[in-house]
Amino acid sequence: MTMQTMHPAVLLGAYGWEQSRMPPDEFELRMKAAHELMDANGWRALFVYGDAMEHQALGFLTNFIPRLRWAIAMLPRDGEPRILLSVTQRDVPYMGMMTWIDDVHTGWTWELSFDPWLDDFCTREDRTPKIGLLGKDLMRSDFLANLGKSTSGRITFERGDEIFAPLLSTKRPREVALITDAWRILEASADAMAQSWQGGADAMHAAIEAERRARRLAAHDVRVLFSTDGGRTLMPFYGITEGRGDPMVAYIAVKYLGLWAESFVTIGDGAKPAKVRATAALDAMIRSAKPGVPVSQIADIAASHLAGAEAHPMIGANFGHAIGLSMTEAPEFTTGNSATLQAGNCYTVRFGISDETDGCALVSAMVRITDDGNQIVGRIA
Amino acid sequence: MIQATDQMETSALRRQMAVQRLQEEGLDALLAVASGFHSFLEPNLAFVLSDFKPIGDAAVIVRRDGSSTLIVTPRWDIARAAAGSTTDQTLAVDDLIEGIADCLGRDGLAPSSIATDGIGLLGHAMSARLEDFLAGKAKPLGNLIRNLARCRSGGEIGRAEKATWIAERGYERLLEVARPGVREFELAADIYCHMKEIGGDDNFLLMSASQHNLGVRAAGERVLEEGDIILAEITPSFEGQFAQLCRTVVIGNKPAGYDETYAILQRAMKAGQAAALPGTPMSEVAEIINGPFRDSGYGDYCRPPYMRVRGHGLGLTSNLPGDVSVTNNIELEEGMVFVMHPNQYLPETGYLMCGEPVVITPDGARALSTNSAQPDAIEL
Repeated sequence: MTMQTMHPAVLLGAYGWEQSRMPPDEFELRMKAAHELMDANGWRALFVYGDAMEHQALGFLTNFIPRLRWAIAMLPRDGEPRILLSVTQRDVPYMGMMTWIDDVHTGWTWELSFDPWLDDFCTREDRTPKIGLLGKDLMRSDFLANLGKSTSGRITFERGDEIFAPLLSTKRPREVALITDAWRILEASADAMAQSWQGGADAMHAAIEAERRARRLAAHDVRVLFSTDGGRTLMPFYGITEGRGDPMVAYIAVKYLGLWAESFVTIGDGAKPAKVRATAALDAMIRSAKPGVPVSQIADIAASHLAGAEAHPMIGANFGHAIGLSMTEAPEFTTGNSATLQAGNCYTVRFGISDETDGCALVSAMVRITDDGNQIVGRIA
Repeated sequence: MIQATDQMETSALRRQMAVQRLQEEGLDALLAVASGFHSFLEPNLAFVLSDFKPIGDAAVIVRRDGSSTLIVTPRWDIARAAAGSTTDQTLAVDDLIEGIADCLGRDGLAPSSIATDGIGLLGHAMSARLEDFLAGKAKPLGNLIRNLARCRSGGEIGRAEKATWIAERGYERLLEVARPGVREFELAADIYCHMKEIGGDDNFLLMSASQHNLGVRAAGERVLEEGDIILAEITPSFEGQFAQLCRTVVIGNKPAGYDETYAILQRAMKAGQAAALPGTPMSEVAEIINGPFRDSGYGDYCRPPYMRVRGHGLGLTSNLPGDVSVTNNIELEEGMVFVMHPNQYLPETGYLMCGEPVVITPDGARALSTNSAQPDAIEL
């Protein structure tokens, strides 16, 4: 069960291309790796699509994150790349500042921005070129129809998502540093939530305080789910909601310069036995998180700590996942998943319990797998 | 304007209208689908037919006998969905396509006996699976729900009025806290959270500043300074009804000619409101809005990039009547809600914003806002 939150109408946090943190050479390295994959697959170009909800590959290769609607980058093996943004022509100069690609156009005039680029590309190629396509699953039918109309008979597409997955899941030091920064904002956000709730605020206002703190610290995106019934259910913000609940249970996700951090938060003593059990389970899961360990093993450890209790519905049978440019990246920590933890990658490890007697608790931690174990990126006590 | 009663929610009335269409088509059920990609410019069909705003992909099945089922993802959202939906039945699943297949299978509804709407708004991963399941046998009724919902009910207009009230409080907050030294994103965070506290459940908030704006954009890192002109497109939603205010405010003294130039936008707004009568083509309204600019010698600026459109529809119900544009020939109907905004770049002042959410009445476009846009300034 992947983590889902309510998608907002627009991503309103401050976000550009922070070159002191993510310099041009980072994208040179990423494109070099992309070129190696393109060469290995005989692709003469890579088309990368993303939208405001999901843009892992697009963000990785171009740094561009759509605030609303979509964008597509055309990255030729040889020649100049172009990116089309679903914004007005007037907004192109500003939005284009997010990416290293110089050739930025509105995608609203497809025949003026996509077709000429394709004509030029096809002229340079000897025969019908193969192109790797990332993000097809996100495309709506009208977009696919436009793409098909322009490219039919001229190029051949091959899906590239699985081929690129290992590259996208690798976290280099600069990315880990940004994830750590996102975590620091999240931690401050959780502090604000705790202070507000412990000061007598209801759950909704405590959740808003968490969001306010994160946004004031320049978070690019903030998602909060909260509970008013002691953690039995979590909800997105949807109008005025009364009730405090005890404990105050919430989920907070913060995005900073493209990278996510997330955590469950359980505040208060209302379900202390459940929290003690959940904390013990999480400790055991973290202790086992080492390179090469199957994620199913972490899930099995979690399941053993349920000891007959129900897993919290927010968790279900999924006790963790990788995290980075997407809030939820593969692999999911489920029983039977043979994927293994990879050194250098960042993961969320999570546990939740819903027990008639002990109450409800949701806890999690973010860890980075090192060569011989793991390093905790962050964990809310 | 459709007439929802106390006894019948608007969503139920819309389902009833869908049933009528099913009867006309000789079909047994409507399958309306929606994704979790919420846009303030698009309808969410599951929301329109259930009054519930889903987190993820969702569907509503309306049967010819009038019964209805909402299917939402993720599964853990079931309690909220069951409490919020007006459908007869509410289900929560992890996989929407499996959920739809199970539900239709239980009802004995073959794909050849159903109509669909909204598949084009899904991403390919979902739409391809759904199309595979339907095997090309279902009848697409594209834009059925968008058309059925083109006029708001009294209840929906009430919610749009509440959203407008929230937007006005948001703007008041902006006037309180916008000062030199504050970064744009800090200001946006403040007013965004302020509007949440008073019930704004989503917000398409653009807010930026410059001494000479070329347009409005999302808040950035820029530090506000005396002489900046802040542009704000404040667009909260209340219970799924978006409303948009467009406002302009100077920090400190107004630049020369600011009031006079802004008055052109105000005249354009008033002219547009008066012209927007039921039965009038939207293109005619847009031409009339352009009139005061032409009369003032700015006719050449009534085109991109100096402006885009003179307003537009608002989700999550239906984005009809669409853009307030000279190319949109839709006829206005009583009860249509949209934002009318003669926002305009002018060489002397840069881009200025002036706009209100309006509802079409027999007397023209009535603003939902209490206060109309003024050439405001923050005294230092």
